[in-house]
Amino acid sequence: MKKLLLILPLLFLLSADTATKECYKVTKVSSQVEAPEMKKERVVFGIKQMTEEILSEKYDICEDGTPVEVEVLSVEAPSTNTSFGPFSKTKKITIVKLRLIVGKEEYWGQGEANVTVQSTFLDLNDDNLPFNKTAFSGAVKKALIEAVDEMK
Amino acid sequence: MKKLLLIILILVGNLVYSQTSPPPPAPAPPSANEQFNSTQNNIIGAQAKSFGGGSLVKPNPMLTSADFALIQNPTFESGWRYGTSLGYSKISKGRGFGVNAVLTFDLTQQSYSSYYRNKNWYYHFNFGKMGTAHNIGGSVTNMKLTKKINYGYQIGASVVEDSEYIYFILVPYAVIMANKEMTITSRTKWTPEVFITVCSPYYDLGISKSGTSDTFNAVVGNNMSVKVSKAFKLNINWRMNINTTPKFGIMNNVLIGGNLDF
Repeated sequence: MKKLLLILPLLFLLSADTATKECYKVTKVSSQVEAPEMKKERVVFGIKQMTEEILSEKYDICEDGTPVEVEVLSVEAPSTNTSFGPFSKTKKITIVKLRLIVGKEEYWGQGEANVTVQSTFLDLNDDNLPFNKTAFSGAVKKALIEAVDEMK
Repeated sequence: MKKLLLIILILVGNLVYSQTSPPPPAPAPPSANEQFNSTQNNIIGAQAKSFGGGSLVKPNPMLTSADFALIQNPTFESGWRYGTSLGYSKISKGRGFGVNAVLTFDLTQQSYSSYYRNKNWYYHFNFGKMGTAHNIGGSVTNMKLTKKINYGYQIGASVVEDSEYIYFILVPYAVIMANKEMTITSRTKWTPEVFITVCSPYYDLGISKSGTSDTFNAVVGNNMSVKVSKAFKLNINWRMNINTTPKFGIMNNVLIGGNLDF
């Protein structure tokens, strides 16, 4: 009887744990964006890893988990330039919009990261700031965190 | 004998002090057309940062935009003016807007412009002053950037008013521009460039009469850019402004540093 009493709470605790912590698996990452500056395969791989990492902070990741799809909807990089005589400042904001498709549910996220350069008497080589991988991955991470936070 | 000497003296005096020919006529004031020809090249012109910036028609300040600009005065004036530029622009996916100011340090030349850009098309509104003349105008520019050569054209119109020379004129203009970037060394690039401006006929709003201008303006430039780091380069541009208005002659511009986006 004592053993039974010991097992019952254990079973209850285990079942409660499995009920609250769902298990997911990132099955697909796709992009609607054609960005010549970045290789699509590398971006897709990077986003898959990042999504698993962010999901694992709140949920379990398992092979037979609920499939999660990540779709990058847009990548924008508006740049602003301010100059005052020889002093110039160029700022490029990378804005990534994406959505997570979990079963029939959709969760949206948007992230921003910026790069700023300042110069005196100098001009940018390409009249614009080059694509920055660090800024892009920072924006993706923020967008994923926002989307995952919506999954409640 | 005394009478003879007196007559000789009178004759010599007459020869020395008398006028042998009638006095030359007083110089006629310049005609409205001449006045216009003298000043239109100061004012008219366009802004071509999409093409590397700088002057199409000198000494239009909008066309001499640079971090630091040495602007040679017309030959009749001699000397140099020095200027700088201020600007702000926001561009995303080839679309955006910008505002700029190009000023000489003595503030005799001031030019302000705003533009909207849609891919290769630029739509401008600009105004400014050049000495006693004021102008306001608009233009449309189309640029083609190819691997071999960059070229473009601009069509616009300006209203020019001068209270000192008393004229008030509407003038359409067309600018053709081309440049080609050539690699000298791995760090150095040379970009020869040309801008040709034609602005005729014009319409005198003051007397409601149209006229033609036989002036023609060409700017030939040489831009040297030196790569100083992975992201930055230093531009030095020498431009010769050749104008058929005799009093202008050839004027030189030396533009140092980055150019404005229009």
